[in-house]
Amino acid sequence: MKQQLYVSVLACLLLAFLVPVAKIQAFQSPDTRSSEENVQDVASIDTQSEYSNGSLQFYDFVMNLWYDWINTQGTQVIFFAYYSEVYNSPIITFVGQHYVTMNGTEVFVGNTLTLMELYNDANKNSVPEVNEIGYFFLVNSSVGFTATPIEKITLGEVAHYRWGVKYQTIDGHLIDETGASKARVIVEHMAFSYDYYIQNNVSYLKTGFDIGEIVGIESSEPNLTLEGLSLSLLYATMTITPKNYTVLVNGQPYNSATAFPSPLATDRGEINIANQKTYEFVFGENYTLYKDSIVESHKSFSAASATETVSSNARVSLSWLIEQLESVLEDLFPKMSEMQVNIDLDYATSTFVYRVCYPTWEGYRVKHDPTYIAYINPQGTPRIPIGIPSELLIAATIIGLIALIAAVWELRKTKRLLRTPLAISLCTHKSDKISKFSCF
Amino acid sequence: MSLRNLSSEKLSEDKLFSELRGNTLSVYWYFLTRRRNPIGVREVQRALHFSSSSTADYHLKKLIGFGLIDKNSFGNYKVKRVVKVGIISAFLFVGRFVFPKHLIYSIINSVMILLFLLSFAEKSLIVFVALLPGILATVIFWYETLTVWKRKPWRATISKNSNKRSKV
Repeated sequence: MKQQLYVSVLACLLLAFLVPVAKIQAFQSPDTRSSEENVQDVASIDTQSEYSNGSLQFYDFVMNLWYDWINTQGTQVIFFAYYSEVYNSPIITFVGQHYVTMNGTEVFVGNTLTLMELYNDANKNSVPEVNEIGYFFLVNSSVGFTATPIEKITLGEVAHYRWGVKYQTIDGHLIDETGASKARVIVEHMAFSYDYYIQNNVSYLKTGFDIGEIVGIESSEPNLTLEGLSLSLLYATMTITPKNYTVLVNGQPYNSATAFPSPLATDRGEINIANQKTYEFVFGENYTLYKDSIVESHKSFSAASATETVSSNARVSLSWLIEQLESVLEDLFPKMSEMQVNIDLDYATSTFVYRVCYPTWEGYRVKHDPTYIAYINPQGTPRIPIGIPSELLIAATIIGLIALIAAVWELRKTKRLLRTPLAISLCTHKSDKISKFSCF
Repeated sequence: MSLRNLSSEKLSEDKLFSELRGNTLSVYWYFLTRRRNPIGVREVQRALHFSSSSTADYHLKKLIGFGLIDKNSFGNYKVKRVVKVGIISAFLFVGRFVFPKHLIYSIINSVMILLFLLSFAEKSLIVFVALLPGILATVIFWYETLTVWKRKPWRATISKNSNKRSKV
């Protein structure tokens, strides 16, 4: 009997330790963990929480993936940013949202900054034509990386979730259309900040891009200058849904893979599923240009773009990290993978590639806040692959098995115990019916 | 085994297991639940609904022979030795409260299952499979708790009935 008691107490203690440990593990910042504990998989993302932050490690701790996760009102937002504590950090970020639309369709919409292009706006239409793109900025790495964990604040009874990351001192190359490096440039910083909130079944993801000034340029060509050049950020979107969807630009269906090369200027893009607007890209707001001590405000422009307008040399050199990111997304949303649509972050296969343009730039610091809007169905909680900590499952099974063995052992023991002094029960249990002296 | 042979020596627990039974066990049980206070023959007779005090006295003497209770100078009896044999070993005595030991296991397992269920917000098949051994263990423990409880040698209901009868 004592043995069973010990087993039960042990099981209880194990449980008391394991449950909080599994919870705490997901909340710990990477800095507070030892390197032994740093080996993590996607299951370590605390997807049960309203929001969580953390870091996943890959490639023998060389590469880290910072994540911010929000799970509220039946919709989930995931943000990823690569960084490294060993080498200079690569600059790859991704933000995606998983939700159920008003018509009950599950959808995942992802967005990633693919390329920075420098163009000469010769025709003054503010968006880059194919022949106007002079260089693209091949981002190499950054010296520093800082992440601001999610902060939840309430403004006017609306919960706002804010987070961000910042890459500091970025070096890269200006690559021309032939694929040759024309200059090595240093960008002061690149910061990505986000403000996510939901109002009346509509979620808003306000993004903030802060691209620092180009502080250094080394070129073998003396004539190379940033003067008069405009900046364009090329984004690729990823839409995964079991139903057919349509991208609408200026109210007309658009597909980057088949579109005409000339850019289609717009201030709004839409994703429609079953003729219902489910996601919206809102552009066209003003951006801030920090021209030394002068702060200027200019109108930003956007254009839906054909995939073929993107330089063939612009294939991301860090494709292995993109593949890793795709794999992480597949693990995080296995149900999404079951839709038989590959998670593909390559702009070349995206149906909606767009450029956000800053016609007045010349290498100065730019700040801009485009917004992404999702029309959600708060009743339709998506079948998200909640990351059940595998160690917790194993612990539950082991403890359950120990308890079951103890229970069976105890059952046999009790049966033997009760079988022997049969007279006891007969005398007492049915005391009213049997003579009190019949038992002795 | 005669009482004479038992009078001066303590029985081993194995022997007690075979000897301690029937109403003698019920009397001993009653003493275990009231370990702090000395108990008289009349009280035993009323509590266990014996027809006469001599019956109660017979069992008390038997228990003295087993070395389990003692008689004080006032003629009252008190527990001398606590033995956990037979059905008694399946119970825990906390003051006047008696409950099956299995109740502890049942509660521990139930709490464990509940905590695990709360930890896993998504109630998928894999969660059910993982928790299945624990759920089975919990069911067995609760079954044992109820079975043992039903076999309790002396129950409060007897004394309640006897109280009612004495009032009449």
